Amino acid sequence: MVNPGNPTLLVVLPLFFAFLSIIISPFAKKVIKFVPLVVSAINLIVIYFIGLKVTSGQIVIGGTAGLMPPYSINLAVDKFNFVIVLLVNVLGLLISFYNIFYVKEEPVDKFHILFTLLIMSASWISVTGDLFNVFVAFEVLSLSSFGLVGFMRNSDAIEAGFKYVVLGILAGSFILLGVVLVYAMTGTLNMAHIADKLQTISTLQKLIPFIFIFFGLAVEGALFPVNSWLPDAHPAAPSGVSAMLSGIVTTTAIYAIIRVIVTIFNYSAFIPYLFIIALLTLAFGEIAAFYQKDLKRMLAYSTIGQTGLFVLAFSVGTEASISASLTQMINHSVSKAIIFLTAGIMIEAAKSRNIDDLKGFGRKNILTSIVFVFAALSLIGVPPFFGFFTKFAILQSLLDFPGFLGYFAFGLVLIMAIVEGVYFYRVFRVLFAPIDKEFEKVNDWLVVAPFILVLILVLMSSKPMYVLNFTSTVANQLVQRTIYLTSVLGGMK
Amino acid sequence: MIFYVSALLIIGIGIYAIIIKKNLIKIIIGLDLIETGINLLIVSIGYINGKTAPIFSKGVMNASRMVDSVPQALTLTSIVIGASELALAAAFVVLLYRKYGTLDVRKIRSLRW
Amino acid sequence: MIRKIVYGIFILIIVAAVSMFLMSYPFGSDKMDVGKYYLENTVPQTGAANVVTSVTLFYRGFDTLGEVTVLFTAALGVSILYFIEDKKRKTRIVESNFVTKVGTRVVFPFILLVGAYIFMHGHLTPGGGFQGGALIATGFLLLYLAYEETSINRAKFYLVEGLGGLTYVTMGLLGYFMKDSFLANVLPNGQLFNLLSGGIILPIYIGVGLKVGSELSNIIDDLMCEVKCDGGEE
Repeated sequence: MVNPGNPTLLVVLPLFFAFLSIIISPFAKKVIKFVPLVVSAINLIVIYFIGLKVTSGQIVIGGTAGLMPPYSINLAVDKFNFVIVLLVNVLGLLISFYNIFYVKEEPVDKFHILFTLLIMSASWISVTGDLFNVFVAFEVLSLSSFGLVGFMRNSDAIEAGFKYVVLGILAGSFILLGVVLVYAMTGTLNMAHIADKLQTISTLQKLIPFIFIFFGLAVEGALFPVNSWLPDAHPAAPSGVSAMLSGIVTTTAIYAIIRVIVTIFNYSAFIPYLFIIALLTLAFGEIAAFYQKDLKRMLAYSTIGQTGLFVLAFSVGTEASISASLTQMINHSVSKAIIFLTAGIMIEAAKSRNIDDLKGFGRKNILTSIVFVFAALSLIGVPPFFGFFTKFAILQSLLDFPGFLGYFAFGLVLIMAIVEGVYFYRVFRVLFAPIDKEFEKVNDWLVVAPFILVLILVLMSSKPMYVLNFTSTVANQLVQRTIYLTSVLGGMK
Repeated sequence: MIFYVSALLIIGIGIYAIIIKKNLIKIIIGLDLIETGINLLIVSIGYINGKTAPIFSKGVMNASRMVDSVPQALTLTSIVIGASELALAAAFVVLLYRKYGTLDVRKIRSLRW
Repeated sequence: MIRKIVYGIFILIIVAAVSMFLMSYPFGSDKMDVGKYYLENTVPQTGAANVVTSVTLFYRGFDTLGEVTVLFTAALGVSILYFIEDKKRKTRIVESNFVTKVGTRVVFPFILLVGAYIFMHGHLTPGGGFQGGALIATGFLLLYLAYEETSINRAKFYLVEGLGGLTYVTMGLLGYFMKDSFLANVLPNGQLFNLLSGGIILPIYIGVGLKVGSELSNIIDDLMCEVKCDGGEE
């Protein structure tokens, strides 16, 4: 009997639909609008079956070519992957629903096919267990986002797109270089097998391939100093795509970095340097966001800052900090997606991306503005929203970092939270200003997707301990990497 | 040994072209050079002294006389991926030229690094 | 000038780091691990003579699926970027000369034939779907260069492209349904050196070859519109 809980289906079924859509695209353009929605829904069904096994502690492995790893490519889902791939597909489902009504420029059908490929490649990076597969899935992710960033074809999009393309190709090449050097060291490409072999190799020799892979993934993952493309590219894309890029793609790249550091290389010597990079990213992102007048650019810098925050939490190195970092990842993805989607509605109505032009929007469209405010408050960390619990957990874990840097980071995070509060409060004030201005009518269905996401956020805010407990079991499993190794290689030994 | 040196040289020239050169087409050629250098490096990592190509034929039927086949498969994938990335980059350059009429990086507003 | 020196030092550091690393793994030394298993087990498990092809399409077939997707995504991206609302033919076209025109008529069918030969014999000789597909696209490029009025029927090429991709995914899903593992070998291995050997490799490579050929031809058609369409120059 066919097993529906196989992670290979997460990659293969979307591809099946994408190839089918390109065949029917000259005839039935209207149908293709619904393809990403259908694909994410099917993915969620598969994820449900995978989840039944993963939450009981097993690691779900899907092999290919009928052979055991490491002689074939395998996909492995443990609790950490499960959370990320669930996040990708839930957000993908709701953002595709939003996109059905949002995208109006031609060629619409190709946009939706590219969006399907974006969801597929983000899921693919999250579940793979083979290092070269990470490179290939990363390339699919980059190339589909290049096409989507340049979709509007105005001067903004093309310039941002070109800068992104050059840095993105460079990043892919560096990852390939790192993977090839790892192959020269170990002779294999399977993650668990490499982890097994790397235990006997000296730290200095492991450094050089690791640096290449790290910097390649960090370009996509918004870390300092290679994130200069992000403030141009995320605003230039259509708003549904910006939500996907800021919420999902960045998080997936950071997931890949975490997988490389913890499971494959087990590189605890690098963690202090990661701490410093994360501090710089946090400071750079939030301070730059403070000075922005363009709404989407401000949100893009805020993404950089928040990414710095959860990488900072991860780099403390204790189990509690990894759990806090994961909860912050979830909070940021959901909240930032909601904010970008509602910002898209506002920009559509006001026909401008400038914050001052949104004056008085809140008084006419109450629901959209309330959704925006809730998500922003959760991002800043105001109680009783979910963000408060995540930031509290992060601050608590920062005190465990030895030495003066721990206290410095603690203070910096608090100051940056205040800075975030200030620049979001500016937007709130503009939204609810008493000015009687006429706005364009936007499609009422557009607000459904952010509304459902905000309901999820409120649900999480009402039971924060439930989520925090789950993420601490995730962190527990992640740190005990021998479980991963023996599950994957168990078939071979 | 000469293969390692030349691969690294090509990669170095490619990175130099991306960072220093001001013409958009030269930047794309730099990207292509980096890809080519890495492909050469992959294939030369797979070479084993004294052995031959990994294809069974009437003259070569013994598996122990063959070179590593995995890097060659990786290079195949990498060449195709590199070619498609460059097609997309070239498309962006053409659109930039249409909008601004120049191929100079310094003249295009937000591309100054 | 200072910028150039700083960047030059940066490049030197990268190159020096990689070369220091490579000193411990000298050129020509044996680094194989899974490679050995593939060399020994290709003929029993797949029946293909070309080990590189069986590694690409069978043992690491999932990566090749990703590569096919990368090409697909790039072709979609290019067609989005070049999209023009009304494509009108330019009034004055540069004619190519007599030798090109007649030569193309002679050579074009042979180019298609060689391309098809390469992807059909992927499991016996060096080559395969991607190389063969690129050759087929080159044939179409020649047709564009010689006869300016050429324009391929995009809908039919999309059909071939999609069918090629669907072949790959369907063969994999067949393996999934029959042996619970994506891309398992479900076709008979045949006899070594025969054309009809290699299990699932032959049908997949035919699909991939046709897909790559039509995809690259679509990209060429988009690029050619830059020269020939009226809406192209703004």
